[in-house]
Amino acid sequence: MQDTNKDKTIAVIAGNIANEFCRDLVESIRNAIPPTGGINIAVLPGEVLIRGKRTENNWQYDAVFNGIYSLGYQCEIDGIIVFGGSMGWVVDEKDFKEFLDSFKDIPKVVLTSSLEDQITINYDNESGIKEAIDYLVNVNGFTKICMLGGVESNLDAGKRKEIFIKCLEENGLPFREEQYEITNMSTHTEQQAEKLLNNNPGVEAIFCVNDTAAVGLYNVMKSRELIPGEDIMVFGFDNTRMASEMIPSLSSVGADEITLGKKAVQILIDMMNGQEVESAKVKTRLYGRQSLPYEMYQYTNRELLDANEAFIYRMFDDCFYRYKAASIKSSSVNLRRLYFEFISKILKAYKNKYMPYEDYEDVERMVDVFFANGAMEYTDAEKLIDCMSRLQYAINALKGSPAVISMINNLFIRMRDACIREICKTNTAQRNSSFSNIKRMREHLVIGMDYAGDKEKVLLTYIKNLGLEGIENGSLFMFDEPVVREEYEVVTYPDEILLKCIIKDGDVYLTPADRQRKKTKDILKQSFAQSRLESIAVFPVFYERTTYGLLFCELNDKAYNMGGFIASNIGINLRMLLEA
Amino acid sequence: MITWNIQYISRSRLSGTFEQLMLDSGKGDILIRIHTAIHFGDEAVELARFIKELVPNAHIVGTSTSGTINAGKLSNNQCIISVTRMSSGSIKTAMIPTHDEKTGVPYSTDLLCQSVKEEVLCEDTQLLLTFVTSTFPGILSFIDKCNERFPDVKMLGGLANVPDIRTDRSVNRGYVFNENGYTNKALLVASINGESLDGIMSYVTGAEVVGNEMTITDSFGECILSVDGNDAAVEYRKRVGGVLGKHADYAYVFPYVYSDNGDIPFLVIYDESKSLEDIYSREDQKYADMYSQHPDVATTCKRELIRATHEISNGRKIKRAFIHDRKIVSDNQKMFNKISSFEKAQTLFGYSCITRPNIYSNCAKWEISIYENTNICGCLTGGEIFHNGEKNVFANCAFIVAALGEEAEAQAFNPYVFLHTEMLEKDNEELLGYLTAMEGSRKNADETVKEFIHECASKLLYSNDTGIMNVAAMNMDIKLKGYDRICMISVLDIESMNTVFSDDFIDLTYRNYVKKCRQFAESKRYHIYSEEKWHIAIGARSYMVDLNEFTKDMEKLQKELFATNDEYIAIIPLFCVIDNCTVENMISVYNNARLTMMTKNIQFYVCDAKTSRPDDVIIREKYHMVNVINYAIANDLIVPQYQGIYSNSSQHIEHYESLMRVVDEEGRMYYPNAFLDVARSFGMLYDSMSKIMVGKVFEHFRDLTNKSVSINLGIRDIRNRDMTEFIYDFLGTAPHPENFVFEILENEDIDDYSTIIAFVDRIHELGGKIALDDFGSGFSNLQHVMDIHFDYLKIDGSIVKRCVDNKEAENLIALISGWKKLSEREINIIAEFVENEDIQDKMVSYGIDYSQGFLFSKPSTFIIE
Repeated sequence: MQDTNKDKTIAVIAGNIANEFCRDLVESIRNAIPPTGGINIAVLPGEVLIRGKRTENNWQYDAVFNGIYSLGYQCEIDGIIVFGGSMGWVVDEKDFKEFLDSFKDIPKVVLTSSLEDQITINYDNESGIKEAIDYLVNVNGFTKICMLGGVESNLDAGKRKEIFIKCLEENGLPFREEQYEITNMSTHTEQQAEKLLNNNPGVEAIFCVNDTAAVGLYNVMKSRELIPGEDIMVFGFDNTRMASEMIPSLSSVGADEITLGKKAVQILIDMMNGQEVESAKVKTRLYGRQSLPYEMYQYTNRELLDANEAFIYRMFDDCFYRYKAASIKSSSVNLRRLYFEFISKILKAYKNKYMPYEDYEDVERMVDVFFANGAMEYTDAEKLIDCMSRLQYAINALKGSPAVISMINNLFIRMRDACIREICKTNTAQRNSSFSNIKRMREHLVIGMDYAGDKEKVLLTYIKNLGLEGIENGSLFMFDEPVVREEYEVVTYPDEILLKCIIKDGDVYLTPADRQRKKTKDILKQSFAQSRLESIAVFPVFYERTTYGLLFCELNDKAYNMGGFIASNIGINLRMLLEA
Repeated sequence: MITWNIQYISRSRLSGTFEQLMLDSGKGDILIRIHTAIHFGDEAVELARFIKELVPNAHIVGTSTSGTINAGKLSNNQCIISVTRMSSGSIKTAMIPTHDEKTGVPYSTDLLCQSVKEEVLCEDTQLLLTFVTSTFPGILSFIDKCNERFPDVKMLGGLANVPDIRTDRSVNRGYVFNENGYTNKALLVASINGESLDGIMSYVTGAEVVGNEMTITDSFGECILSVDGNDAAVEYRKRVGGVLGKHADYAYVFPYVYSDNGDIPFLVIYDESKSLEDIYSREDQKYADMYSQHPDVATTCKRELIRATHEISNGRKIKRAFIHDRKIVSDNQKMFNKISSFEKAQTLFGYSCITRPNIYSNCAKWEISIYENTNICGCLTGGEIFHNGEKNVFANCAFIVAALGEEAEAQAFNPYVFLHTEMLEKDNEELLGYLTAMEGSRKNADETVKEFIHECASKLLYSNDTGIMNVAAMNMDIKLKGYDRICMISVLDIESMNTVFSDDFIDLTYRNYVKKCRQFAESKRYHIYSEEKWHIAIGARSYMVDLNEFTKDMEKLQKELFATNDEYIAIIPLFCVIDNCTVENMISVYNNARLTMMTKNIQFYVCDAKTSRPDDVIIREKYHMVNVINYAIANDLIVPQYQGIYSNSSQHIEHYESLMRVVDEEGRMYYPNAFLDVARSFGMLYDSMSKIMVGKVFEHFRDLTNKSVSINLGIRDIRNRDMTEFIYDFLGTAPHPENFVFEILENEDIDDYSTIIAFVDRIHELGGKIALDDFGSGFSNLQHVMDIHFDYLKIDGSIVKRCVDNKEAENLIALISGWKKLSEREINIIAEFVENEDIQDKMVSYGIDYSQGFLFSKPSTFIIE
C-alpha cells in the first residue's frame, strides 16, 4: 500500500479540454506519470477567452468559468503546469505574467509560451515542417504550396509561418502573401480556406497551422469535390487523435520521441525535487497519413521477414505509435510483447516452412487477446492495415511453403476482422453512451423537481441522484453561499467549502452534515486520498454570474467530452430548483 | 540440414504436416526416425509404409520404445517422427538380420560388421545410428569388432524396448522396423554421411564408482556366477540389502562398471526364483556350448542369480558403483557445456536408458529438460550404444546427446535447469537414508528395520508423480516465455493434518487437490507447476492475461479448493499472486509475501515483485545509522538531554525526563525516531546505547537532592539482566533512590508480565519509582494499568495535543483524571506535549498533576530550572 499522504499533486491549468489539442496535451501529461504512482494530476479546465471574436455572452461565461484557475493558488499543490493557450491567445504578456505570478513559489512549467523568465516547453517547430516541405518539393516536385496560418499574436503560429517561408526559400521557392491566410486556429476556417483556394488556383499542398484549422479546409474542399491527399496534399500540426480520425486521415507534424506533456512532467518533477532546470524544446516530425502519404520508415522485405527481435518491436512502435507515449499499467496485458510473440511465431513459421496446428491455434488466440485488450487505442485503423498488408505482401511475394502461407494469410484475415470488430464496438458504445447520458440527465432534473417546494429536500433529492448525470467517480462540493462574480473581477472561492457527496462507481454517497465542511486549500489533495483516483478534472458549477460549487470528475473520455457540459447542466438545474 | 519433430496424432494430421513440409525429392536425402511407444509391430510397419508413400524417397528407421524424447520432454505414450533433411549429405539405411533364418543361430559378429560396412558405410560417414534387439547375444563383441573394422565411425543407438514396467520383459520384446517389416532379430542401421557434416557426442551416467576392482571368474550367458571366486549373486544381495527379492528394480541404483573399459556401467537384474535351465533351455541348440563349459554347475535348482543385458565374458574387471545425484548434475553440466558450445547444432539426438527414469524418480525428466526448446529427439532404450570419446561402447544407465549439422546453427537450451537440482537431492537423501539404515540392519536383522528399508525403497523407486511440470520448467517459462504472473499455492498446516488423519486419507485429499488445480489451470490455459508436495504454482503470461483477470481466476480456484465434502480433509489453501516475476526475485518476494500473509492472517495476497523489492535507499540509510551509532558508542557521543516537567501544584519544574541523543562525527544531532528502530533491530547496539545512557543519567543526578529524573526503559532493557543488575546496584547505593523514575513504554509488546512485575517490585523495594509511558497511543492495553504498579501515568502527547479542538480527546483526559480520583493508588498523571496556554488551562481544569512540553521547557543538555 502506498502512503497517499506522500503523494504529490500537480495542477494543470489547461484551457478548454474539449478542444482536441488541449485534450491530447492533458493526456500526454497524464501518460507521463510514472506507473508506480505517487503523483496525482488535477486538471483545471477553463475556457479560451478570445475577445472580439466572441459575443459578450461568451465572454462573461468564460470569465466565470475561468474562476476555476484560482484553485491553482488557493489550494495546496506541489507543482503546476500552465498551458500557454489557457488564458486565450489575445491576453497580453503582462496579464499572463500577472496570472502566473499568482502561483508564487510553486514550481511551474509553462507550455507553448514565449515568456522568457519562465521555464517553458515548446515545440521545435522546424524539424517536422522542414521534413514535410522537403518531401513535397524534392520527392513530389511540388511548387505551389500554401499555408493556413494562425493569429500573429500566437507564438507558435508566428514561428510556423516564419519556418514555412524559410523552408520554401531553402528549396528555391519564392513566398508571396497570397499563399498565406490568417485564421483563428479553430475549426471554423472555411472563409479563409475559400480565400486561399481562390487566390491560389492549382495549389498542390496546404500546410495548416494546427490540426483543428484543417477541419474548415476539409469542408471547403469537400464542397468543391477536391479530395485531400489526391487533389491537394494537406498536413496539419500537433498530430492530435482527431487528425487520425478525420476522413481522409490528416497527416500531421507531431512530437517525435517525447511528447510535450511528458517533457513538462519530467522537468516539473525535477523542479519539485529542487533540481536546476532549463526550458526545453521538443523535437517534431511528420506523421504521414492519407492526406499526405508519407512513409515514416522504409522497411525492406529482408528486414520484414528476418524475424529479428529488435525489428519486430520497432514495427510495433511505428504502427502502435501511441503506445510508447501512453502510461501502461504493468498489471494490464503487455501488448508490445504480445505483438512480438505472435508476429515472431508467424515469421518463424514462414522461415521454417512449417507451422504446427497448435502454434496456429495459439497465434489465433493471441490475435484475439491483442485486439480485445484495446490495441486499436494506440494506432489508426489505416496505419495498422497498411502495416499488416506490407508484411503479408512480403510473405506472399517470396517463395515459401504454400500450406504455411495459407495459414499465415488466414491469420492476417483474422487480424483484420478483429480490427474491424473492435472499431465497430467502440463506435457503437460511444454513440449509445452519449444518447443514454442525455436521457438520464433529463430524468435527473425531473426527479429533482418537487412540487411541494421544500428547497432543502429538493437539493437533497437532486444530489442523491447525481449519478444520473453520468459521472462514474467524483464528488460535488458546494459553497455556503454561492459566489457571485462582479464585473471586471477575478473570481476567488471562499476558504471553506462543503463536500456534498462522493460518487464511487456510479453510486452516490451523501456526506453527513457534520462532516461536510472542508478547507478549500485541502480539497485537491484530499480528493485524491479519498477517491484513490490518480487524475481528476474540476469544473465550476455555475449559472450566469453565480458559482454554486465545484464538480470533481475522474479524468476520462467522459470528462473531456461532457465534463464542462455536465457541470453547466448542474448549474442550470440548481438555479432552477433553488431559486425558482 | 533441417529437422522437424512431429508427434504422431493421426494419419490425416500427418499427411497435412508432410504436405506443409514439402519434402520434395530434389533437395537432399531424408532420414525419418520413428520411435513409438504406442504401436504394435505390424501397426508400426503400416505407419512406416504410410510415410513412405507420402515421402517416397525417405530412409526410414523405426524402433519400439518405452518412452519418447521430444523437445526436452519424456513421455511414455507417444510416437515421435523425426524428419531430417540433408542439404548435401547422404543417408543410407539397412536392416540386417542377426540370426540365420533357418537355424536360428546368431551370425558371427565379423559377418555382421562386414554387412554393415558394405550396406551403409561411406568414406565420409559421420554417424552410424545403430539399433539392435535383445535376442542378439554378442553386442559387446559386435561393437568391439566395429571399433576394430571401422574405428573412425561413431555409433549411436541402443537396444529397442517396449513399454512395460518389468525391465527384462520390456527389453526382450523390443523390435525394430521399417516400411518392409518388423523383427526382433535384426540390426537396424542408418549412416549419415557428408563432407560438410560435423558432429559431437557426449554422455552422462551418474555412476559413482566405489570399492576395489574385481574379476568375473565365472559366467553363464548373461549371468554372472562368481566374482573373485565368490558367488556373485550373494555378494550383490549382501551389498544392496534384503529388499531385492521384492523389488528387483532396486538394482538400478547399484550398477557395476567395467573398470577395464572406462568405467562404463552395466546393470544386473537380481532374481531368486529361477534356475539356469529356466532361462537357458537345455534343449536349445545355441546354449549347448554354455552347458558343456559348465559341467559342475547345478543348473536345475532355483538359485539367486544376477543377470546383465548382454553376454558376460570371464576375466573382465568390474567395480561396484551407485548412482549419485551430484555426479548426475556434474556429468550433465559437462555434457551440456560440450553440446551447447558446438557450432553446427542443427539436429540433436538424445537416447536415454529405460532405467534412468527409475534410478531417481526425477532424474530423466530433469536432465532431458535441459534440452527443452531444442529439436532434440530420441527415445528410451534398454542399453545404449555410443562413442565415449575413444571408442564405441555399450552401456546401461547412460543418457547420450549428439549434435550434428552441416551449417552453423544455434539451439535454445535451458541452463536454468542446473539451478534446480533440489528434487534430485531429495531423491538422493532418501537413498542415503536407506543406506544408513542398511548399516544397522546388518548387525540387527530386525523385521521392523527391514520394513523401513522397504518403505524407503518403494518411495525411491515409485515416488508419486503428479505429472506436473517442475520448478525448472517454471523458471524457463518465466525467463523465456514471459510467464511472469505466478500464483503460488500452498496449504497451511500439513503437519497437524499428518498427526490426525491416515496416510490414505491424506493422499486422497492431496490427489484431489492437485487434480482440481490442474483441471482449473488447464481449462484457463495457464501453466501449472509442482514445486514440492502440496506446493503448486500456476503461471500466466503478462502479454496474454490481465492481472485482474488472473487474480479473479485464482480467487475462484481458491474457493473451489475450500469447498470440500466428507470425502476429503478440509484444507486451507494459501494463494499468493506475484506479478512481474523473474527467476531471480521470485523466491525472496514469495518469502516476504508469506511473512506478510502470516502476520496479517490473510490467505490471498497479491504483490508486485518490482515494487516489493526492498528499498535500497532505506537500507543504505539504515547502515549509515548503524555506523553513526557505532561511532557514537566508541567516541562517547551518546548524550542525554533533559526536558523539565512542570508541577501544576507547586508551579515549579522539579522533575526532568532524560532523552537520548546521538551525535555524529560532524556534530549533527540525531533524535530517537532516527536511530531507535535501527538500534532495536540490531539488539546489541541498543543494549550498549541504553547502558551508556542510563549510566550518564545516574551520574548526573546521583548527588542532586531536590531534583528527580525519568529514564526510559524498553521491555528489552528489563529482560536484560546486565542492565537490571546495573540499575539495582545503583539504586541500592544512591543517596536518594526516590529521585529516579523508570518509564516503561506502554506501546511495546508486553507478553511476559512476570518479568516486568518482578522488576517493578524490585525497584519499589529499592526506593525507586515507575511510570507508564505513552498511555493511550497505539492499541492501548488497559491490562497494563491493572497489572503494573506504577507511580506515574503519562498521557500520550497525541491525545493531549488535540484536547483543545477535539471533544473526544478531551473526554479521554477527563476519563483518566476521573479514574485517578476513583483509584486508591497514589498516582500522578503527567501530560506530554503541552505546547500552549490553551492546553495547559485544560490540564489544570482536569486536575492533571504535571505538564511537560515546549510551553515550559525544551530538551537541553543542561538542567534548566
